[in-house]
Amino acid sequence: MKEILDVKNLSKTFKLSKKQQKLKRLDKPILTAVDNVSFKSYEGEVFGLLGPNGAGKTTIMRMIATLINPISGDAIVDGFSIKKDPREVRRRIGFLTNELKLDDFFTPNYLFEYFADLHGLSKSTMAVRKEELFATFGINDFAEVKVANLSQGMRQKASLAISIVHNPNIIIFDEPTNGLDVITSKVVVDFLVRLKKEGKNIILSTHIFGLLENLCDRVGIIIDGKMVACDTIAAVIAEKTLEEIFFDLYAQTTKEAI
Amino acid sequence: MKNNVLTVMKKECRRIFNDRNLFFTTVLLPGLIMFVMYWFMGNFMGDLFSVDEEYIYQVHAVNMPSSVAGLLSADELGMDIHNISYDQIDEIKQQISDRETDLLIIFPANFDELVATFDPHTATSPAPNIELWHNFTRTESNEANGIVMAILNSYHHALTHRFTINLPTDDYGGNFNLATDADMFGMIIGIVVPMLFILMIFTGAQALAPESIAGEKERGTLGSILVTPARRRDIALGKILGISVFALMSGAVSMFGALFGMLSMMGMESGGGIFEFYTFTDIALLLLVTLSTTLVFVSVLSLLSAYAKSVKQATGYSMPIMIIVMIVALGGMFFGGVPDGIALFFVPVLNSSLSITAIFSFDVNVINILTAVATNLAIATLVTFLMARLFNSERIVFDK
Ligand SMILES: Nc1ncnc2c1ncn2[C@@H]1O[C@H](COP(=O)(O)OP(=O)(O)OP(=O)(O)O)[C@@H](O)[C@H]1O
Ligand SMILES: [Mg+2]
Repeated sequence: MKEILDVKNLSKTFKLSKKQQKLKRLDKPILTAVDNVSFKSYEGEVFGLLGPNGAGKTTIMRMIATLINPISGDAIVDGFSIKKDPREVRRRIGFLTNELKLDDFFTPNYLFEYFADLHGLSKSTMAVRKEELFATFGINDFAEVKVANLSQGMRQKASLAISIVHNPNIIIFDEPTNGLDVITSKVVVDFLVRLKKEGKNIILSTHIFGLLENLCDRVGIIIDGKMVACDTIAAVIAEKTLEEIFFDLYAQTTKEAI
Repeated sequence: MKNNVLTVMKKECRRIFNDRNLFFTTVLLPGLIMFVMYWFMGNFMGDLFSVDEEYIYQVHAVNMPSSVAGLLSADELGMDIHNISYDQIDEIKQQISDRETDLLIIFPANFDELVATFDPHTATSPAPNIELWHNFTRTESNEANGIVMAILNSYHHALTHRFTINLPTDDYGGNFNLATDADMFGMIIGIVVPMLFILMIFTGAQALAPESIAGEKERGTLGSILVTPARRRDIALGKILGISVFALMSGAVSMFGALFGMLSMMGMESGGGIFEFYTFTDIALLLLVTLSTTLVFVSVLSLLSAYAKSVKQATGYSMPIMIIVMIVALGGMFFGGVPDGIALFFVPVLNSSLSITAIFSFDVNVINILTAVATNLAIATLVTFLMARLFNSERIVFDK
């Protein structure tokens, strides 16, 4: 199996302000958000990161997407190091989260072309991609409406289409259905299923056990910045449901009974 | 690889063009304000700079000698000479100061005889002196002063220096100008114009940069650009250039607003009139100064906006800068004009202010102004580079 993603001993700390330190009740102004995390994902797989709030999922994904830098460790994305070749990595990934938004003042059509330009796509490649993705997501009906005037579902469709404008080999989704209504969530889940069928490599973080069980080939459970379990979904759910396993691990790690 | 600078810049421009409110408040409104302001100022300056052909100068004279009376009586000079006595002097001086009349000439008694008997080589007493009182800010007064001064000067040479004009005295020093401080207002325009102009460019940039950069951070749209392979440097530069286009437009509209406001009141209908005063070099230098100043403002404000967490914070950061700009832009005032030395042209903002004052007052030193332009461009480049670095650091997008 070809390795698509190799995360090697990745760690990340944040310096905290006095206020943040108080809020988190820490004795030091330094927070270890990700602590020596390693995992691998192979060609054609969907890898799921599962963890409670504040576990460090988003931080891991941002490091893989080269948006923030690890304090130690490295990740090799499709053969390129996030430290040495961040631009090559960015060429190969699509990154989607609810925090990265589309500009309200523009239409999906314009933004699609804008991002195609930033990715260095030729006009003809862009046109082909646009036709294909706009048809897939049914964007043509609202391609010329400003994002500000779109419904949440339409925005999500436009975001999804734009995040893969450059046909990336690896797609990173941070809690893709978080905060979405049921209809919009379905748009996202359908999209994930389609990508999986197309054989794309997906890294996904979520709270939703069902999504992981149905979609993922491999899961990693993150608690308090540490990877506490990582295996194929088949191995993980052989005896218990993912939910049960997660809560067991959570209780063991944090020594809190739930 | 396509040019990402251009892509980012185009989007920036489109954004502002499409936002009618933003476009109106940053580009059109300042121009309108400047037009109205200068329409009023032009009214004042119009008074200042043109004398009606038919105008008869009101000249008051004490002890007018028949020789000079003959010289000044020529019809084409258009002077009405009133002979007055010593005790009327204060009253006339007041009138000149109030800009009600034009000129006062005070001769010593028996001027013609004194001059005839005065020998500059052997004399032990000072030469007979003529006092010429005028008001610098009243155009008619200034003109009359110029004419009489020219005539007396040639008479002075013809008489081989047997008298003096406006010799400094213990009472007045060398100042025979009766203009008051309020009248000096007009003279200050040469300094206030550049200051306002610089401020307009600044406020244009200030309206756009926080919105374009801190705003994108706040709305979460900047991150989407940063996950593309576009270089940070290109993104920073594209944004700075895009904002600059509009800050420049806003500056240019302000400038034309000011110019047309002034010209329309001074009775010059077309903008073509400016080429009667300014050479092509002047205009080209003015454009270069404006452009480079804009780039400095936009890059600095963009850097601050990249550092700030929200539009509000970015605008807050820009306030102290604005105050500094306002003070430094008045630079010419502190130096009583444009200094000849090159040193001050290395100081940002001050160099722009001095350059614009120099151009407006026909006191252009090309090397100095080009130094100012080069300094500004260097600063803008450095700041753009810093901003690219900041885009690279994680602080910018994901700071909680
Ligand atoms: N820029 C930052 N500055 C300070 N602390 C941060 C920063 N980013 C993240 N953190 C902290 O790091 C920890 C991990 O955060 P992270 O967002 O990665 O968790 P998560 O697993 O994605 O949580 P959630 O499920 O809530 O999205 C949290 O305690 C968070 O508060
Ligand atoms: Mg998260």
